[in-house]
Amino acid sequence: MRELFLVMNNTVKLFFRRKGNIILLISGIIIPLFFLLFTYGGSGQLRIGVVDKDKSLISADLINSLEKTDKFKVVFLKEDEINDKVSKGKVDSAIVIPQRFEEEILKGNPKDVEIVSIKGEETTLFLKSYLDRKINVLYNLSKASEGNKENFYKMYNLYKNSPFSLKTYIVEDIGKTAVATTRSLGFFIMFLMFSTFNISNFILVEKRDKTFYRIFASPLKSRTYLASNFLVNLILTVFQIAFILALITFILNLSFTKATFDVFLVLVSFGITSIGLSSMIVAFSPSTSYSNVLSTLIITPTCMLGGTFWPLYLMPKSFQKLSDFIPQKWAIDAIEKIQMGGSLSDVYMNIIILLAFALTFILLGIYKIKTSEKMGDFI
Amino acid sequence: MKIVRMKDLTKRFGNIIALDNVNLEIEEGEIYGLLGPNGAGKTTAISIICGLISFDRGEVYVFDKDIRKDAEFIKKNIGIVPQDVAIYGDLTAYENVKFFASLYGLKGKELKENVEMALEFVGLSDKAKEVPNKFSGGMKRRLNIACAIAHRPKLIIMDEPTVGIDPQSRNHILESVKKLNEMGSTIIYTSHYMEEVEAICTRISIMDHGKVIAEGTKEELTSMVTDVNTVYIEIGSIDGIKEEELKGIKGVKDVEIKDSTIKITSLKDVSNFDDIIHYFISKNIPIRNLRNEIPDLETVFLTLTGRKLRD
Repeated sequence: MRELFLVMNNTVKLFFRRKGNIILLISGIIIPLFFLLFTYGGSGQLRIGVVDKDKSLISADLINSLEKTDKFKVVFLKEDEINDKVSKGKVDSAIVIPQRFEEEILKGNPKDVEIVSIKGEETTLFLKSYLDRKINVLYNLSKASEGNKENFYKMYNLYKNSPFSLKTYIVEDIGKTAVATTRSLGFFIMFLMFSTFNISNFILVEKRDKTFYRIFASPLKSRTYLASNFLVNLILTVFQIAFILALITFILNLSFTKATFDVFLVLVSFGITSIGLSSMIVAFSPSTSYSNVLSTLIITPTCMLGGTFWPLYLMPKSFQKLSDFIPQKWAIDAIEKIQMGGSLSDVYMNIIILLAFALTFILLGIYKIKTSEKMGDFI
Repeated sequence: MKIVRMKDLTKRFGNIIALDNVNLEIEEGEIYGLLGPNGAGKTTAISIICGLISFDRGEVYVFDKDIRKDAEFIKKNIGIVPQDVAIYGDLTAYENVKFFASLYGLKGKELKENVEMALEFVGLSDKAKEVPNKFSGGMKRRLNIACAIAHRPKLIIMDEPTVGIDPQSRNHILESVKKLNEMGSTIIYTSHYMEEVEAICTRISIMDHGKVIAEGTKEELTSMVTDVNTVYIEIGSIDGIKEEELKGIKGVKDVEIKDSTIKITSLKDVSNFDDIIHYFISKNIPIRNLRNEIPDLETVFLTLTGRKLRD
């Protein structure tokens, strides 16, 4: 045990003595946060251009409810202004409430609200989700009132004043901040992968610098040395995850909730997978230059395929299927589920899949090292 | 006690035979030299003694213990100075020695004292707080030694410790080797510089292509390749010198006179140096220069293998 701490202490010391490591560690936290702050702004509000062609009580109420959420800032537009305002970024997206919107709802055939955006589905997803829920409620009320306008309004008013009315909770969690948080955590995941690789790669750096030879000429066991590298990697990973989640919570003025802890668990599970993967890369690499190339060739494309940079649904179906074999996809998927209000019971399968990936990588790495030891070329 | 015993040791790397039926015995208190060109198998032999790599056939005993069974005990009592400088460039000299010494179980006051002693020994006490990245090649080599001796090992293995350094640092290292030996450590010293091996080693093995081709003291090795002693005498004038008279001195096999230099070849076992000098004095012929040619290890290697050590 003493030896384990000795080597861990030495690894930490070496890590912080090299400026490049500290820069990588800090950029892994700072860059995703900058992305969060500057790409999506600090207010967390989506500016929604609204064209109300129905001008009914229901349409006015729908618009009103959007404003009330604090997550959408409503800007009234004329229909011919939509493209200009959206393309110039004056609004994030625009919605068009069609004519006879109220009428069709009462008839039980609700018309879709048209959404215009150039920022892609990631911006409109939550708006659409919100509107769908609203329209769905109106549709159900219309069905319950059997097309009777008077009954519909009675029930609608009751619904609005009911303590069980559609909570703003969903919008708070799945609004613009949620998208921004997911994307910035996506970037963080990529940096985390490079950071875990960097620490695993210490083994090859020690081989290159021959300190590895000296260490193994001492009575220290190889498993103690490998375990110490893994543990240092895990500690620094947990530290980075805790730190970025704390900063995101602070910047977005959110409170620490169970969801924050759930995201933490998902990220730690992913961190373990990432350490497993980097340990495997290192075990299979004969030199640092080889491992550096291999890690870049693995990390960057899998991050693209795994949906860390952009939502998976933007990619072709075949790529989406391929992403099932990529750990990042399961981490991002779990984060999105939690953002949509899911709990640990909704993401436990993601965590199991991530840990299964980790176990596979670690076992492959150990197998390679054991074979190398037999061949006498591990040192 | 035999510090190291190797019996029929064979090690292959794929199709390459790195060690081919090597038999070696190293006594306690020796400075044992392993001489041979690059690729002769010296580092492989050392790595096996240190328990760093396995072997295919044969037996290896260090401190009378089987390396396959008691590797931990053996490793604890060995200090290795690797061929390449194996230190952390970003840790201070003190931190380097402290870390490696602590891997051998040293702690507390003992650790501190031993680290300071090791740095003092290699003359780096005043650089203890500096990082080796700023050191010269010679200083790095000295720190490389300090990292191997702080735990006071019974056996110190030095694998080409003087490669690529200035003569001053080389002399410092060679003196250190002698001192460490005087302090009680057995030393295995590998090199392809025969001058170094000749200067400090009590016994030497010459290795080539994974085999030990000759073993013994320097004198024993040189006598393997020649049975004669050659003396070159330079005089002012050869007038009055008679070849027959010189050949009549006991042990003299051959005499060659060229210009003002006389080459006298004698049987190695016969001590006739005084008689030769006396011959010139009796003839009142002043000697300007005198040179005794003794075959060196380079000659031994050349004779045994047909190649030079540094080919």
